[in-house]
Formats: sequence, C-alpha cells, structure tokens
Amino acid sequence: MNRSIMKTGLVTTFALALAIVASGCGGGASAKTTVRYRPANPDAIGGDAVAAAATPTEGAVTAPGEVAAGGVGSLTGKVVIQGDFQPLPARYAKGAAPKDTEVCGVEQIPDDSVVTNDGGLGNVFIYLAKAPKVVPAAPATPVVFDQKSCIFKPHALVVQTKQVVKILNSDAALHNTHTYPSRNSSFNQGVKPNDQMGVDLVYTRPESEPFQVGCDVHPWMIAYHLPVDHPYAAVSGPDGSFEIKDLPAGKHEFKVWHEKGKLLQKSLSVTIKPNEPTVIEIPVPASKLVP
Amino acid sequence: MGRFWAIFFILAAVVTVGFSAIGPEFRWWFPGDGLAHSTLGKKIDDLFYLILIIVSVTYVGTHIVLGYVLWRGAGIQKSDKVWFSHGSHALEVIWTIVPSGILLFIAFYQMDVWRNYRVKAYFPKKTAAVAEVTARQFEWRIRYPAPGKILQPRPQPDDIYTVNDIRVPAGQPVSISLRSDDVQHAIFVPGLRVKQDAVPGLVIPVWFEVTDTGTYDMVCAELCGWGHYKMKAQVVASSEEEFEAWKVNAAKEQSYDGVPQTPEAVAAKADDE
Amino acid sequence: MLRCKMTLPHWSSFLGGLFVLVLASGCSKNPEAQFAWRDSTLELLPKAQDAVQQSITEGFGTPHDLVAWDKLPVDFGGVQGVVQPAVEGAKLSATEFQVQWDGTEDGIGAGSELLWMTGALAKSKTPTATVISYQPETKTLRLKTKNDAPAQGDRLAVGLGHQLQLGRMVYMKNCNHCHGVAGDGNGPTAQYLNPRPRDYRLGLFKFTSTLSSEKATREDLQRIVKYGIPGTYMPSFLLLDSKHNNFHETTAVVEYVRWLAMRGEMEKRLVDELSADYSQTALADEAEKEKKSYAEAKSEYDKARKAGNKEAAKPESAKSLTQLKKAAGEELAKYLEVDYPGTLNDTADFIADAWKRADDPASRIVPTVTRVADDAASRERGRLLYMSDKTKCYTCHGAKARGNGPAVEDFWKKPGSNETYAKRGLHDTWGNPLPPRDLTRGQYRGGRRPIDIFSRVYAGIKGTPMPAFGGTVLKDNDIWDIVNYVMSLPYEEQSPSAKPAAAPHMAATEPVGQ
Repeated sequence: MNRSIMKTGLVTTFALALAIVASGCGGGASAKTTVRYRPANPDAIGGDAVAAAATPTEGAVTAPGEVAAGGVGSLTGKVVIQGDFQPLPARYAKGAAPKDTEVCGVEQIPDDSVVTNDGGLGNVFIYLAKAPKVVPAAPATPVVFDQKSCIFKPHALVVQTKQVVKILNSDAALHNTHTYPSRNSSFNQGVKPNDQMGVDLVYTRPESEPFQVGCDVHPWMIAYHLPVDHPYAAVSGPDGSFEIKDLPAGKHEFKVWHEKGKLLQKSLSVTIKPNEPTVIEIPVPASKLVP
Repeated sequence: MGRFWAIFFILAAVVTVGFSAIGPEFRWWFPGDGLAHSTLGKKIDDLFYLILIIVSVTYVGTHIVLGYVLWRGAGIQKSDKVWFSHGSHALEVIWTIVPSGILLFIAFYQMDVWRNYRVKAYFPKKTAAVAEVTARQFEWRIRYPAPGKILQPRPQPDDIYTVNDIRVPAGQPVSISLRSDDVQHAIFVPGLRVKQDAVPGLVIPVWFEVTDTGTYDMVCAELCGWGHYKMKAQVVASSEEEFEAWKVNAAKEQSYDGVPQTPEAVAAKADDE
Repeated sequence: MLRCKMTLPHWSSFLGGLFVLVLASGCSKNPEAQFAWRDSTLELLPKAQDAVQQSITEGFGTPHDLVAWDKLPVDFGGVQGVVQPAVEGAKLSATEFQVQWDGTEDGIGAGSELLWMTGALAKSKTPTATVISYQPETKTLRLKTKNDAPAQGDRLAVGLGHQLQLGRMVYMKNCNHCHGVAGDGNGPTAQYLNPRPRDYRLGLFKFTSTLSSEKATREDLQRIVKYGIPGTYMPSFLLLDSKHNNFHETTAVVEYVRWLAMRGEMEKRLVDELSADYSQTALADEAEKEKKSYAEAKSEYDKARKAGNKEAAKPESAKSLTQLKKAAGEELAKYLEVDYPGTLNDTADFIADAWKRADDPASRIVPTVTRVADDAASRERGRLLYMSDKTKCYTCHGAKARGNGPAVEDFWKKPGSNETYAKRGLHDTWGNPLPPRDLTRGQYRGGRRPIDIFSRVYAGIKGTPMPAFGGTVLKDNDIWDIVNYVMSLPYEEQSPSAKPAAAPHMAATEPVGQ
C-alpha cells in the first residue's frame, strides 16, 4: 500500500478522536442559569411606595337585608323546555340500587340530570355573572346539603362564599363528599352514617360555573355546587320556576347554566325596576338537553 | 519506518516497568484508599497481585522479544535468505504447555478463596444474617430483623426497613440475602471487594467481614435499565454496640405515632411502668 | 461510445470530511430546555394565550432565566440585609459599608452577587454589584461597583436565587427525564412508566402530613425524595445530599419542585379562568350548537309555513365561528384590561397563601391520643370498623383487603363532563386509572410508620377517591384501631403460633450464637 496515504489516514483518525473528545458531548444539565428578582409588589421597589400599595380594597359589604340606595326588585320566572322532551326514566327502581340496597333502595333513584315538570326545566342555575360593587354579607345561617337514600339533596346547590354548607348524612351508610371545584380547594371528606351534626364546608372564592360533587362509594351520586360572591342567584325548581329577591334596581347580566346543556346563556340581560317583580321566561331548546 | 516499531514496543515494556515501580505507591489505583476492608477482600487482592505479577512479567518479556526481533529484522537486506520457523513442532508444544500450566496453576491456587466466598458450607461458622437486600429499578431496599431477633425469610411485623443504606457490624462475618424485584442487578462494594448478581426469583446469600468501621460506596454492577446509574447506596460498618444502638433507634423511629413526646409525657409514662 | 474515466478519492480523504463534520455538529449542543405549556393554554385564543404566557413568564421566567418572585413562599436562597449608618459624621461609601443581615450570612465572599432591592439603587440601571470581600466580624461588605453610595436602610440581597439554581441543576440531572422540565410528569421516560410520574402542575401531592385541604409540607416532599415511593418508579435519593455553597441538594430540589408546582398551578388556574369563554374548542362547540339549534328552529319555521302559519317568526341565522371569534375577541380585550390584573393577583395570592399555610403547624395532623396498643382486641375493633357501613373501607379495598372491592367494577363519571371513564374502576384527579391499594402486600407508598398510615386515614389521599375520615367519621382511637388492623394484614397468614419457616440460606438456619 502507498505509504503516504497510510500516514494521512492514521493522522486523520487521531485528529478525529481528538475532535470528538474536544467537542465534549453532554453538559445540558449544568448549563448556566440566571436568576432575576421580582418583588412581590412591583411598586414596593421605591421603599416609600409600600404603604400606598396596601391590601386592595375588597368589595364593600353591607349587613344582610340592608336595602340598596336605588331600591330593589325581584326577578321571577320559569325555565321552559322548547320542543319535545321525553322525561328520563329513573336510574334505579325502588329496591334496585346496586349497592347498599337496604339503604339506597328505600326509594327510587331518579336520573337527576334532567328534571322536568309541566314543561319547565329544574336544576338550572341562574346567577348574576359579576358581583355588584356593594353586596350583603353572607347569611349566618348555613345551607344544608343532605345525603338521603343515596341521593344528594339538593341536586343543585347555590351558596354565597363564606356561607357555611352543612353536609349531612341521613343514611345508615358512609358517604364521602368529594368536590371538584376549579377555583376553590377541593374537598373529600367522609360523612359518617346518620350524621345530623354535619360537616362544615366553606367556599372562599366564587366560581364562574357550577362544578360536580360526587361520592366515591356510590357512582350514581352526583350533585352540582355553585359558590358565588353575592346573593343574587337561584336554582330553578322541578317545574322550572325560580325567584331572586332584593336585586338592586338597574340592568343586570345573568348566566344560565344546566349540567347537560352547560352554559345556556352567557349574558342574559334583565332590567330590574324598584319594588316591582320582573317576570321572565328562559327558553331552552330540548336539543341542548341530550348529551 | 525503519526501527520505529522496535523502539515503540521496547518503550511499552519500559513504561510498564515504570508503572509497576510506582504502582504500589498508589495502591494500584484501586478505588477509595486502595485497601480491601474485608477479610476475604484481602485474599482477593493477593490473588490480584499474583496475576498482576505473572501478566506483567509475561508482557514485558514478550515486548522485549518483539522489539528485538523487529530491530534485527529492520537490518536485514533484501538479498538475505529468509528462514521460516512455521511448523516447528517443538515450539508449538512449548507455547501451548507453558500458558496452560500457568492457567491451571491460577485455577487451582484461587479455589480456596472462591470456595470460601461462594460455597455455603465453607462460610465462616459464625456468620450472622443481618439483612435482606432487595434490588429493584432503581434502588436497594433493605430489611433487618428487630433488635435481638434473627432474620426470617418472610417479612415480620417488627422488621426494620431502610433504603440505599446497608448497616452492618464490623469485625464479624455477616451475610445479606440478596434478591431482586424485577430484573437482574448486581451488588458491588468496591471497598469490600464484594460483588454478586441479584437474580429475580433467587435468594443469594453474600457474606463478608468488614475489618474497619466506616462508610463504603455501593453501586449496581449490572446494567439494569435506564436508571442503572441511580442505584447508588452505602454500606455503613460500625462497631457491634453502635450497630445494635442504631437498630434500636431505627425501630423507634419506624414506630413513630406522630404524637410529640414532651418531657412531661415521657416522665409520666416512666412513672406508670 | 464515450469512455468516461472516473477517479474516486481515497478513503482517507473521507475521514477528513468526517472530522470537519464532527466539529461542526458540536454534539454538546442539546436542545434548549423549555417549560412546556398546558394543552389547554395552547387552545386559548391567541390573545388570551399571550396574556397567560406573559404572566407566567413574568412570574417564573424560563428554565435558563429563573425569576425569584418574592410573593411566593419559596426559599430562593441568599440572604437579605439592610445598610447600616456610616460612622458618625461620615458619608456612606459606595464600595464599603456595614450590613445588618436578616439571617445567617454564611457563604458570602469574593465574587458573590449583590442585588439592591429597595432605594434609589434598586431603580438604577444596574441594581447589582459584585462583592470583593466580606468581614464577618464587623459585618462589612466591600463592593466592586460604579454605582453611587446607598442610603442608610436600603435593602439588599446577596447570592439571591442560589438555592433555586442548585435545585434546578439537581432536578435536571435526576428528575427531569420522568417529571419533565415543567414538572408535567411527561419527561422522555414517562411514557414507559406505570404508574405515571406525578404531574406537579395541579399543586397536588398525594402523601402529606397535613389536613385534607392543605398542601404538602417541605418535610413531606423531602421524605419522598429521600426514601422514594415503593411500588412506583420513584426511587430513593438518600445519598443525594452533597452541599454546594451552603445549600443541600435535597433541600434545594424540594424548593425547586414546590416552585414548579406553584408555576403549574398558576398556569392552570389562569387558563381555567379563560378557557370557558375564550378557547378555540369552546368556541367551536358553541358554533356547532348554534348551527344545530338554527337547523332545528328553521325546520320548525318551515313546518309552520307549510301549515299556513304566516306569523311564524323567521329564526335568526346561526352565528358562524368567525363571528363568534370576533365577538369573543372584543369581549376578551375588555376582560384583559378590566378584570384580568385582579384575577392574576388574586390567583397568585391564593396559591402563595395555600403553600404558606401548609408549613404552619396548625395544618399538621397530630393525633390526640398515642397509638392504641397493638393487640388482638384492637385489631378486631379495626377489622369491624373496616367492614362497617361507617367507613365502607371494603367497597374499594375489598373484604380481603386485596384492593379489589366492588368499586373497581363500576364505570365512574369524569368530573366536570357528561362522560364516563373508558376504563372500569376508580381514577385519580390526574385522570389516570387508580386501583385501590392492596393492603396485604406490606407496601406503603406514603411511608410505613404508624403516623403515615394514620395520616392516610385521617386526611385521605389528595387527588384520589380516598376520603378524609378524621374528625368526622372516626375518632382518633378508632383510626388507631384501623391502623393496627391494616398493619397486621400482610402477616395475617402467619398466625402467631405457626413457626416462621426456615430461612432460605444458611445464615438464618444457623442462627447467630448457636
């Protein structure tokens, strides 16, 4: 073989090895990072600005029952199904509950996802989309959330933030109340059989839409909770009727939500006149209630 | 090229001699302080040194011969007559018999150490089973019997557990039962010269007697998956009393019930008893 | 025919080319680490996406440029102090002054980075300086700086963010390949693992020593890092504890993981605020619904017309997706200007408070009674409770505690939707299938100390269907009975009278001292 070619080959191979060593593979984890400081409150850098940036003023709160300056009116109405809707059959007939039959089977377990009566749609949340500047403080009386015959009662619950939800258990079996909120901390607490003292649950932040509450013992047990930071919210009754009292007079935007149709109305505009009931009808196409 | 390769091979022999001369100073670049800290480990090191001597002498010898031959060969003229040694019966016999003899000698010479290390019947009589070590991807979980009890093959309610931290008493032969939860692993404690595969489905006893108290690094020596490199652990050898005290303390920590022990509560309990 | 003569270059010249190639490719250059965004973030309308990404990047930075946001309860590392007055009469020097430190000032020395936090220097172009030397006796700093002299009372920080930096380095070396750069549990090896690595971005950790609605403490996370989680791919990092610049690797990586969890939760909460109204999918759904209800109304109208009803009102035509997007865009612009800053602030406060609260002793589970004596009577009481309607432990864990109760046969509804999970059995908040624990295996993911099992029963396991029983359903001594029962389960088959079987190796068959 040509000697000079062999020599070049040898030299190149050495150089190649050297190049691989020199290029030094790896090192991703040790790459240099910088850290920047960000004050908790950007205004505080100046030192003297700290006082000015004190806690932001919370929405003013009045005592419950206090009347707003412009007068108040009430909003009543009915959620109506448009078109034909066949009422859903019961989930389990009396005595047919697949679990804890002696407790859960004492009554029929309905399919609460769509409750309808006289053409009205029940379990619809109607609530003010945004809290007004001045709102009454949360009532001191708790709202009761019971579990009876392995059914959450009520199925749809609206509560003011900081108001206590008293979770009871009227069954002779354990239930656990497991919430899935998006803005509040989740809650998963066992409630002992026949507990009439109850477990207290307090929501601290308002939610923009109702969220699911379940029981991990009985798969069919489902309810919906909606904490709002004002009292201007209601859930329609089985016949679709609802009432929101003591609304300050003026124009309001409401949200309408149902578990099957989700957000039915993003901003339902209603004008409330002082000392006068405003009556509205909220139509819901039947097509929105089939999954 | 001339005599380049002759010089190259002679130089290799010289370098080898040089490293052999300074090797002992650096304890042959063994990990840690270079010493074996277990009784058997010292014997394993002796075997290593024996093989090192044989290999070094052979290596240096062959390189000198090789260098000599190349040096002479470089001076040969094209007109010189070539002598072929190929097919020499005597030579073939010599270089078959001599290495075989050396290999046989090594094989027989090391048998004692191998038997002591591997054959259960030849384990030291007083070997105490201290722990069960279970390898899994990618950690070592260790189970000890409660203070004053002996290790049972099945977990007991009062067993003590650690992870990546093997505690043993020094100065006495101890054994661990090596298992694997998933794939093949290998326990390797370089400082103690202990190495043994952990095979799924087998319980393999490994014995050693640590001669000096201290902490020894332990790694996995069988490529067991993507996290192989994470299987770092330590063997902590302490005096028998310290080992027992550690066990008592570990048992106490493991039975912690979360109720803060105020001095008053402890005193009240002592009064009750 | 044309004869073409080709000469191939010799093979050695190819080697030369290869050499150039290796140098040029520079295999040391890894793809740059990035915090991956949530899928839901990327589904937002572009403007909403920008707002969320900008807020998160301002608050947390990128993997190469971390932000130490003072609002967060994270120990970023470094020590803060206040400039002390100069000796009487003299003016403060720009390069040498005394400092009153908030904590211990170990680790300050030549080369340390100083940052001005308040005062005129903080607002200057270069609010930083380099330490030349530090005298611990007189607490005097000497600086290399071109800045003016500070004022008495100015706050400064030295070595800010060192712990976060170390935490990041440790994380990228050891955690990243399963848990991912952003802590989304989606690193390169994650897809091979079952159970999946934890996604921190819900701010939720399963095994804690805190009450049911509280987050994990630093100590909880440290225990997980140190001792691993048996039964999962989380190994022990017990020996990961070397010190760098006065920071321990384990402490640092726990701090970094908390920080990642806060970042992830912040992103999720912000997106959740926006996604109902301003996400591509929500708008597409709405357009679909509009179309559907228009078609329905139209057919009603046509029917009415056919029937001769002339008064039937013609339905309004359905809004197209483009129209909906335009309307949403206008609404979004208003929302981002008016409400978003408040929401951002509120969300950050909510997360910071929750993490702060976790380390408050009041959030810790402390049994009111010490462990009930672990005897046959207590275990029997525990067994009765386990099988009772009061606790219903058996519905999930099974009558034989093998993790196969009737609940694993059911199809469960996905929270927040009208669908059920595709697979039978329980699921966790992350949406992964979650078999109830087999209690007979003696494998305890959250630790095997009695207090660990007590905490699981008392406060439940976060992000799972395991509810909290403490305080409401069960009294503390009841829980201890259950703990005693559960901890005896792995050994049930070995009745106390039965002699333990012989050890499988010599050592145990020839016990010590015999």
